[in-house]
Amino acid sequence: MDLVLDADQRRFRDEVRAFLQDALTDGLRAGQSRVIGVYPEPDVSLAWQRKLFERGWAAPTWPVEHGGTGWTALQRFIFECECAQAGAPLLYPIGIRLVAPVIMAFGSPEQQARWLPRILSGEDYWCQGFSEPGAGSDLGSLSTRAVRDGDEYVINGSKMWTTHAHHANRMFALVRTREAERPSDGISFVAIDLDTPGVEIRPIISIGGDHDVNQVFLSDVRIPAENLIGEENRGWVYAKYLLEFERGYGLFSGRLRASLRRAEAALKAPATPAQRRRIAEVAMELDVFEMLELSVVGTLPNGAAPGPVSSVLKLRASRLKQAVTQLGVELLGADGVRRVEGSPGNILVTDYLNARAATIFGGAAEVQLGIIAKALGGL
Amino acid sequence: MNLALSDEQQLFADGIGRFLEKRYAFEHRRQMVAEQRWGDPAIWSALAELGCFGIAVPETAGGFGGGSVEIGLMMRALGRHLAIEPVAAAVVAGTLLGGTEGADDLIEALIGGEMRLAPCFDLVCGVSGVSGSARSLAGGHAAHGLLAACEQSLHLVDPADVRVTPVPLLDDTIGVDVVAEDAPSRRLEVGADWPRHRALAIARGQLARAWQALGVLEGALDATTAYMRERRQFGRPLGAFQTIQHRVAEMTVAAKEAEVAAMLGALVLDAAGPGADAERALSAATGRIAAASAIVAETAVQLHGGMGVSDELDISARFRHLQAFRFRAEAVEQPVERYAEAVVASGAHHHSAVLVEA
Repeated sequence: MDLVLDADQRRFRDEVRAFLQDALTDGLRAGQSRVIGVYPEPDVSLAWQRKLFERGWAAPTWPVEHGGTGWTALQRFIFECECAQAGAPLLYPIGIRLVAPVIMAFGSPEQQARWLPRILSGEDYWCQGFSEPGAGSDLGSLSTRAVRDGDEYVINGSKMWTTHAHHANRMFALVRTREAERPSDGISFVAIDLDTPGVEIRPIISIGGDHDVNQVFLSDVRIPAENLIGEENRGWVYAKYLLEFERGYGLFSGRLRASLRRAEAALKAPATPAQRRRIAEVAMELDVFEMLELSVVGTLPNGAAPGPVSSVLKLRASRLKQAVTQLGVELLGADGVRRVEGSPGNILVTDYLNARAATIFGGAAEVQLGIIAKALGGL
Repeated sequence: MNLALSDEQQLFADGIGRFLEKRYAFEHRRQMVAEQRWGDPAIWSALAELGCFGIAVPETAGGFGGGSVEIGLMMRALGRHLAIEPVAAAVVAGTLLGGTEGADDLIEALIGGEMRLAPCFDLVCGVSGVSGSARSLAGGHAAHGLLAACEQSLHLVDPADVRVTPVPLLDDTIGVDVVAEDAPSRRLEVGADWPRHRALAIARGQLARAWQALGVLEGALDATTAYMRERRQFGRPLGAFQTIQHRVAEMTVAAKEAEVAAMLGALVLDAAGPGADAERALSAATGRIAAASAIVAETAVQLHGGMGVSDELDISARFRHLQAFRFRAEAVEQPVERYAEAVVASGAHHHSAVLVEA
């Protein structure tokens, strides 16, 4: 067991640094520094994705045959760490990191050929149709229905809290295709083109005052049956697979450290001893979380799902996001109540407000605790 | 970089774990604590045979040349079984002696388990002898010799030449208060790299206590989850109640965090040696293991109900050990203050804690 980078690993890190030096513009950095929601706006993230795509680095988690880098988990860790350190935009993960593993594992070769290259290039921008007005933490009780009609499905219902649906051209969605004794048994996993007639997207304004999420209404939306991913009524299995990637496959420690730097940069005077103590408390948690990510994600074989420990990662990452953003507002002192549009202080306040969602989306903290107790505690 | 244990590391850890599982009965420990003993001489000899006291001594000095990971794995196993013997003191002593010349007799006796040494960093080594005082010194009650690790030199002091008062400590061990006034000593030869050896010994002491606490708290978590499966109230197992499940899950998360915190401390100390990076990692590790200790210890006692506040099970002993670890760490090592003044003040926390330069 040792932490020392060997010659190959150092060479790789230097290669990443050289690329960042060359490709990362001030404009892209500034775009990332203004992020107040979960992801940057597409003009920022897609501009960066195109540069990575040209370099062949847009999908560090994908195998080579689909256009991924084929990197080891450790290389990916180094890559994410260097990108965050340099202030590079966060890549929009819904396509690359969430739906793509499902398409690779359960989609047909035709679906893989149709969707994966366009996810990689950024031509397609996916959103995630899981939650509904009546199905949040109890996702299995969802009621959006898909009825088979010839070689089509007709979909009716609505999806809630759909992040970036207003930017997306495709949505993957969980829909009910059968009434079953166990609600989760009758669910299927489908892809919906958002320009299909009957799709209506309405904004939901967040606690921070901005527009990140939406409600998506689906009224007699007809999709071709070939948009079914995997087998009918097996969607819950694919959703759980996806959620492991959502919860335990991101590498957040570098991003959290960047948030901490941003929070400290807004200080008008050098930090007082009391402020340094508060910063230390958060930074110590962050150091240990970084080791947690490295030891869990950094040792996974490329493309492998992390398993139930992903709930520990999700819980820690979401609580740390809240701790870092709360520190940001604390450091503003009395100015933490000012909301002057575009000011550095308001970015921190908005980020703090929106970070409350971190322990709710992707399975609320209470859901994660339940999974941890059962899967890791044997209760 | 490689995050898997080597075969040798795994074998060493398994060997100690198996031995303690078989030989370290809680009932026997209870008796030793009631009689205010330092530990069990037979266990001490057996630990010597397993290589526990040579692990911190470099091979060039006659030891087994283990690193932080080996030390950590050993301390974790000892913590899991709530061993009271002063092995952490032996780790520090072995590290200190590794920086000496001509102390082969001491090293051999330490590794063989014939000589127990209590290292002390609070004494002053003057021309007329060793002076000063220390409180609650770990391993002092069992010691055949005190190792006064001063800034410029290392001295072996016979306990008969100083005033030693045994003090029962919160973690069920016996510490000593030491008062020395110009005590005679054997001065051990140290080289120019002595400050580095001394710093390494201090770091390893901190690391050893942290890994020991990790073992203690992992034992508390396992005992609690087992008890939640067995114990029935209101007609069902306690573990069937969601409020219990969530509290056990919080313990599980805390224990996982403590585990990786301990790894962080060990791996950075091995990669970078004693210095700023290691101090940062050890402060973070100590601080977060202390926080995890509070969660695990308090929840373990609470969920055990009446049994948790009795001395019937080992849970109360685990509580006492973990709180002793916390109180000592927060008062002596002051991880948050140190991190604030050394790491935050320099801006080092703006960079990765794990991608350190060797």
